[in-house]
Amino acid sequence: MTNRVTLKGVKSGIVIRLPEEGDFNELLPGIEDKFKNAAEFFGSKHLILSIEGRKVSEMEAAQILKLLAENTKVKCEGIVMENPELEEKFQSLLGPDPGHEKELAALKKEREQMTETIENLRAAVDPMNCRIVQGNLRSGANLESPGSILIIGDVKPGASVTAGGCIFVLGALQGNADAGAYGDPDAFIFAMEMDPIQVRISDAMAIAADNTSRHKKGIFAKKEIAPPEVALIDEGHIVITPLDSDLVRENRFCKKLKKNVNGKVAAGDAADNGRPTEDQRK
Amino acid sequence: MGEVIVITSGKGGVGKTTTTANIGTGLAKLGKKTVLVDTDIGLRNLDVVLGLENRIVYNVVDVVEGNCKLKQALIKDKRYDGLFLLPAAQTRDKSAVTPEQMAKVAKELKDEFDYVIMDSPAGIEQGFKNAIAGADRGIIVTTPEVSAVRDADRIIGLLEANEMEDVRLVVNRLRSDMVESGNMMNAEDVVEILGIKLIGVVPDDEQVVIATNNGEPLAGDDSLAGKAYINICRRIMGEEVPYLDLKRRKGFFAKLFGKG
Repeated sequence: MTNRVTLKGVKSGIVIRLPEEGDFNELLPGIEDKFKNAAEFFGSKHLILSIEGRKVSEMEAAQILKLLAENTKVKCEGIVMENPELEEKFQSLLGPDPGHEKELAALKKEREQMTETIENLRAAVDPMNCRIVQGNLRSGANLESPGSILIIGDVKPGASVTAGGCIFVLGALQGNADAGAYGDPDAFIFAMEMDPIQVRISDAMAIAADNTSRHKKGIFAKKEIAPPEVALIDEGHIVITPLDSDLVRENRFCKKLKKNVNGKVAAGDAADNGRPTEDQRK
Repeated sequence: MGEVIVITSGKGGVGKTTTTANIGTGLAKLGKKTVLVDTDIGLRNLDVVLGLENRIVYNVVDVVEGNCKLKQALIKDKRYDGLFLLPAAQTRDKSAVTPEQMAKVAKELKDEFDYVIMDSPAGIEQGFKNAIAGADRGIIVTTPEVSAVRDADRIIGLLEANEMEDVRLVVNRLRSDMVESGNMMNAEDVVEILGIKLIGVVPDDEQVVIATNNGEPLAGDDSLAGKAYINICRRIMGEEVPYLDLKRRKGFFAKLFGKG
């Protein structure tokens, strides 16, 4: 993920995110591709370009602008980057339109605010702090917590749960669940009956297959007893897997929780394979 | 430049959402670029009827509040390339959107699509006002029952007060056997009471229920209701289409022993 060029549109312009490492010239074909693909989407609007993730030199910024001009019809009216001096220099080149300076400032502010909000949310995340909710969450309910969430009941279709940490559903998960919502790929979602509409963990997202409830309901459907399942990220994708003893023992599954436990328990003899020690079993 | 059509009824449960889904599917099948807008914020259903619930990321409230671009919130149908859905929010209520904002969304969609179909909620409050805000014409759905017809009459009055000129009627769930035995109004009776032009009559067909539960609208298939819906679409597009004979075909034995 980190060594790729990404391009996204925001309200007031285009944000191009470059990898921090590597030779700039090697990135150029990637940037060109991105611009080409996005040309139709951006049309011939007047936009502000924001270069993020890497400090670029004057020459490099000029090359990016050139590619933008060659491959799209976008009219670039300003540039935001991680080097304030260069920014001003380009600003004067690109047209000192006073009207757009406001927009430029707005984009900068928006970026700062976004970073700030995300930082604040991240800081509040505490997976060991668990909110416990008793009862069913029905359609339209929206439960959010910076910590983990334990629901003693069902999450019905149309309800959504968002947690900074992990989500445990002691019932059926049939709605939407978003764990590690502020960017924690180690977060996971546990449900006694896993039948969600959408599941998100950190940046990954998975949707239910069309028309097939994983556990059929109805008078004629065989009532199978589904095993408790866990949704977690495996190699960048969300996978749903039965909660068996192997998974419980596996380090990765409990990494998040263990990290915190180990941080708090000073003694180094806490079981490092996830198995409870004799003491803990009592 | 397309057209914005609102589908409304006043009374709940007469088949607005089912009609919307089927008209949208039918128009897409006939090659028109169509977008369906669910204005029933807080009690959304259209996504379920179309089988697109699992694809919702952004909704109409996100668009209005500027959390996303309109294009990002549009969900492409899984069967027809020309069909899109703009879903409603489930965790909010009708007051999250104003009629002016909804009219702006409708206007923006009109530039891109041939038809913008607004699915109205039941009632005459904010949700209804939102739904009709940007509409050029209206389709009233009613069933041949006095309560539904009474509510439809009130709605037609409200639409006329809003200076909507082109308002047409769909009579839904007509049972020809009950009409024949004199226990149900027929479509002509309903038209006479309401005094607006008919655009379609849809028979009470169990296939509709099955299709709705499967999330696959049946417009344009071989069922009687499917044919009725595609005919409504043709009439929306301005074609003259004769009305279907809704009499249930009698089985062999019924013909032998039936009273005629």
